[in-house]
Amino acid sequence: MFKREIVELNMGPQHPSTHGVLRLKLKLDGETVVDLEPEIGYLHRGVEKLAENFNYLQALNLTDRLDYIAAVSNNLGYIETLEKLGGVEVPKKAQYFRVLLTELNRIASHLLWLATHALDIGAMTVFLYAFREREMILDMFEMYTGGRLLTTTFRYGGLKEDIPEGFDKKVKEFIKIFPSRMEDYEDLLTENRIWKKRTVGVGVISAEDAINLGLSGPVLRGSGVPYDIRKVEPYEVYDEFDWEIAVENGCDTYARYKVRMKEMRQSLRIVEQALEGMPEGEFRAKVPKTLKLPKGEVYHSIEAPKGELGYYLISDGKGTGPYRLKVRGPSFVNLQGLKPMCKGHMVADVVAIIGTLDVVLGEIDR
Amino acid sequence: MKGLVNFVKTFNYRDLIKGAAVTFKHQFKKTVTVQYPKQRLEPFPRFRGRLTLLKDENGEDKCVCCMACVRICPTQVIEIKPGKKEGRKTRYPVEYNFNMDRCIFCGLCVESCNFGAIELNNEYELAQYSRKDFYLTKEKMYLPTPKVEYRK
Repeated sequence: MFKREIVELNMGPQHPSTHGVLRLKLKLDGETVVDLEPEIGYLHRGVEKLAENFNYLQALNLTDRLDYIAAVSNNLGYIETLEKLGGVEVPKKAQYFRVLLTELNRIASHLLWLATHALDIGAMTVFLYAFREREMILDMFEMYTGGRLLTTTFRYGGLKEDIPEGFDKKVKEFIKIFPSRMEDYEDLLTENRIWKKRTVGVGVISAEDAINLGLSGPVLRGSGVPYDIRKVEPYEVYDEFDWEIAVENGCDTYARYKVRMKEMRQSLRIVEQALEGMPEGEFRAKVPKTLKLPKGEVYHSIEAPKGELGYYLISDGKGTGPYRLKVRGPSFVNLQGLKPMCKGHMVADVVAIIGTLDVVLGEIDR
Repeated sequence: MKGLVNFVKTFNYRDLIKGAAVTFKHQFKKTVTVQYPKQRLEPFPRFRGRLTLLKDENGEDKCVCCMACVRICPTQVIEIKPGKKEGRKTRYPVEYNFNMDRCIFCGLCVESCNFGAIELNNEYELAQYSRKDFYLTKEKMYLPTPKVEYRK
């Protein structure tokens, strides 16, 4: 009497839970997802091509606009790529401060993830609390760089400006407050029965599949693979600090939630150590005013909040800008995991899975 | 037996009480929200607001038209027409046009300036009703942004 058929449904690009302009073509059997295809490109600005027409300093502005939640990490990856090719020695103070800012940015990024992920699933309280703490970090960014989101933080060979007075006081205040606030979030979510019902067993991906798809960051670590570039291939001064890689074996959305919560605690540990061990001295190495790099190619990757962020840079040795700049964005690759994670789940779970992947469309579309 | 365990679990509201305790605790804390139009936050000194031209103590332009800002600007929003004047050794800007609607507030122009002639001020309420109001000529560059009266 009733004919059973597969329905095609468009989710996004204006859907509030797709975090930007992600469009998903869902194939549904009733309410179960049979197949899914992400459609991207709504935010394409041609960043890689634009970089070819800019000089090295101007192209730094473009990296801000990739993953705009974690602009400091993007800046760091790009500047380190230049430094790897140019072979410049960065002063110790600058390295410590870079680590400090990047880790603060990681916390800010994870807080925004926590806020929006909880909001998507239906816990509004966490959203407001997490934004309150994120505001403190954004204030620090504004104090140091002058920008809150688009920071344009670092420069070739060190920092842009010296650390302003009163900055360490702000960081210390944050270090003091944050652990208790973390407890608040965990009290609200970790044991909450609705939260657990929406996350445990949702979006399962095995470690093998995750590696095969090239997933990285908390998504990979949530599947029990202890891979973190900060430990595997330490850049800056990460090897001088005492911290652990956050790993969980659950492979599901709940495990990834726990990984990110652990990671925020570890980041705070690094921030604390970086602030204590900050040496005195120069904040920028002596570099020429117009930057020219030797001929060559270089790839460098860092652990951005979302995963492995790599820059592949080619310099022809003549111009003052990149000949070619390729960005290996973590969100772009992590989006590959959406299809295997969503298959067999309900439409409502798709929302949770997009949230757990923590994609930022600015970097996927570039 | 299983039914009994589930029954106990359902009525064990420990997790929900824990969450409610957090929200209840927050009732007695100070509010952090800023009531924006009535209450305003002061930006930090390094805040990157609108581009402004600066004058020295004699009321002369500090700008000597070296064009460093024009060259470094990623979005090409600055236009300078240099000129000469009696009683001044260096060149001075006859026209200094700034197209704010394309400005990305990156601050590279200020960083490139060797004479301290430009600055990003601390204004953040830069909305205008008409696009031509974003196009600032030299005279307007010295002044703060005129206050826009909001209308229906």
